[in-house]
Amino acid sequence: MKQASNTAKANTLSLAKKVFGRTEVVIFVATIVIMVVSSFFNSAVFSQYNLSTMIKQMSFITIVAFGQTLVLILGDIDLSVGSVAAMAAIFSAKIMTQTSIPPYIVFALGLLLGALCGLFSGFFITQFRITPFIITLGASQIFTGILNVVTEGRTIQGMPESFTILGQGSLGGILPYPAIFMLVLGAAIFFVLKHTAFGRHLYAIGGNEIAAKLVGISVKKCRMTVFMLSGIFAALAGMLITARLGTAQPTIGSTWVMPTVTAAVLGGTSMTGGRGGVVGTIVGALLTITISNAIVTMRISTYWEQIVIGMVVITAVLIDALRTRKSGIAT
Amino acid sequence: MEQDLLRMIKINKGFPGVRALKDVNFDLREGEVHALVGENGAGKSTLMNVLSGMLQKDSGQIFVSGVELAITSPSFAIRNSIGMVPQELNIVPEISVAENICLGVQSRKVGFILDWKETNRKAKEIMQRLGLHMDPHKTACLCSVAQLQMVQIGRALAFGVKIVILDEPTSSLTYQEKENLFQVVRQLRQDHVGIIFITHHIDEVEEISDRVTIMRDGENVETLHTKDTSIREIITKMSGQEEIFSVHNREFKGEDILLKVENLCHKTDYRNVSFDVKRGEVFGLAGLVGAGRTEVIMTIFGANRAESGSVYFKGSQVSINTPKEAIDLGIGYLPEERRTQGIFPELSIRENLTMPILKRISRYGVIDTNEQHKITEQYIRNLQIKTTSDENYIRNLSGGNQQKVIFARWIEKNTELLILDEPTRGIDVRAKDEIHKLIKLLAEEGKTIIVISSEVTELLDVADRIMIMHEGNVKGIVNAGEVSQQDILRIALS
Repeated sequence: MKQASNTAKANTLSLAKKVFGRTEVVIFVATIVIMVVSSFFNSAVFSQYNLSTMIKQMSFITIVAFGQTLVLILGDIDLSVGSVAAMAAIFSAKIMTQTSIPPYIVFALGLLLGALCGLFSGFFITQFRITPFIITLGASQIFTGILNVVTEGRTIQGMPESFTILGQGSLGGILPYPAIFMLVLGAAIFFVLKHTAFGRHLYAIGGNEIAAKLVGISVKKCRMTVFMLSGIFAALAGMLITARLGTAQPTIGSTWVMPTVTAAVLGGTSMTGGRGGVVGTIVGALLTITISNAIVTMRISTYWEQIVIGMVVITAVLIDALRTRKSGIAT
Repeated sequence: MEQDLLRMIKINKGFPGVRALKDVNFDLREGEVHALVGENGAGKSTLMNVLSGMLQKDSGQIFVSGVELAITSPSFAIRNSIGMVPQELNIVPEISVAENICLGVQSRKVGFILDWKETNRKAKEIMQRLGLHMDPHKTACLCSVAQLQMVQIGRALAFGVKIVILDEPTSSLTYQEKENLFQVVRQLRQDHVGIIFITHHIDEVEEISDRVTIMRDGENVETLHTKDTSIREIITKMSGQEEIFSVHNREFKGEDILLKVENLCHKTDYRNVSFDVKRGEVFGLAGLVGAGRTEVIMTIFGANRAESGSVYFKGSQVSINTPKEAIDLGIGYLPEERRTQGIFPELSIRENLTMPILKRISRYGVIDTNEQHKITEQYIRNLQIKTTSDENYIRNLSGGNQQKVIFARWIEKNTELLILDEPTRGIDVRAKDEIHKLIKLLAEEGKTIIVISSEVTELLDVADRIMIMHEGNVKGIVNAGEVSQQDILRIALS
């Protein structure tokens, strides 16, 4: 009898180790802890209003972060996500306000534009083997420049309601449409990454690109596809936030790049490639939003937000590095 | 004077799912060459990784020259006279040979300004000692694998260590280079340096060592004086059972040509290569390291480009530009260096094994994981891959077991032509024999196999015909049953 209970104890302990050993769980627990702590200062933290505001805020960046996660798994980075979001936002806004083309078609065109922007970067990266950091940085400048020329810095207003409903409406009055986009997209990417050949190929490329090539994986094709997807997701987020705000500014997405990388890395995605996933990114984004939210609800000066986020990222990367080191360097 | 230079007492080390070292004792005397042998996963590399600071032991004690040490890192080990020359190269490719050798001990002129003159002088001195004749300024990535191995050894020497660990140093060396190495080892022995020599080549144990320690399943089976034992006895103790040596006795009579290569020329690596491979044949590629064999194969596999010449597969001319195209045509390739070209370190054994066949085992785009498990477990059993589960990370396996997984990957992919590049490098005697049997079995079943190997005896055992290359040229194509090891060497150097 004693043996059985000892084995049961051992099993629970090893299960607990497995569960809490995962980055996503640790980050999620940290999120809850912060929320609980901040609720001592302000009981409104767990109110429906606050929670739904947080979900709404995080939806846009998380959608872009999904694309960034795919790029990071490959071992690359996409610094152009912010400007691609703005490109889609501005051009779709212009078309909608200046022509009578129905919004849903414009929406599709916006996604197409995002895809093209992503392919633009992807082309130079795969054909000429220049580091993604430089290419996407350059692309970002080009896109921002184009937008400044086109808008002359002015905001575009007057989006039709059939469009703004996407950003402001919600399903059954509770679940905001942007959040639905985020969850559906997240589920789709999760599925692709875990259960399809394409998804596993991405991890292979990120883990050992030479071996991936020698095993018959079309590294170029995969990379192009991933950058295209990153562009599409950025475009989607850009248009959604335009829909929410009702106006399109050329500065959309200008502060989006670092948070997308932060969310992914916090959630366990490695910057050298080969590791990472959707769940981690969502949890990472959740933590980031929770921190910003906590700073507001605890009435700390918002200038502290950047310092705190920076410290959190460093801590997360440290934990990750320690974990990799511990898993051994056996031959 | 014989004094215990090193004493390792009751060393234990475990990894997730594997107990790699169980209460292992090991000692080394001054001026001794102590061989360390064992099958894959026996624990040899792990023990040495603990000694050199790459890994932390779970328990046990280490005494160097009578002083107990807690070896916390490789730099600590080096500063305490323990120099490790690893199996997988640790070279910085973009800098010079001299700088690689003196990495970490470069002398300074003033403060933090490096003394390059002294660095180059020191490197040259060490290289002389090793019989390595080349320009110390040469960029490391331009050197051959054999040369880089010497640079690795040079680096350990640059630190002036008293304990030198050589982890399978001869796997990429030619006969001459190996003799040079042994000369150096004998010299070090005279200088009262203690050398630990890990190898799979038991004949080398006989040739160079004073004592030999045999490990099996993470335990020290026995430590013997080399002159008191025989190769056969050592091998028996390694596996715990009697060794069966297989002998080549096949008379291959096929005529149908599967692959034909005509006048293939590469800009720098090979010239006028022509040969054909018959369906169902085992075709060996012999040659000294740097002969250009892998480069020819890379062209056939679409990983590099030839300047001129043609390749014919199944009768028609083909133009293969990527490995994917080669694989789609029916050509598979087991890479030479598993760490940099073969394994996906962040993924499990299961994923590593099934990576090329994911599309095949998917239904409507979804991978069938049950099928994946089934296939992987089958190979774990049949190839006796040492692991507790197919979910373990491949990086936690020993080098030889990793090789088995990559081999299994290509068997499962089932290409008509399979090219094996040094398939038994870093694999112990018994497993090597198993792989040879496997190659012959695959050939019996009609598969066509090309084997590149620097071990002529291996080719004489498994191949039907052997093509000999030297410095980018084809020197001859012979029937394996009609030549000896010396013949092949002679043809190569003619």
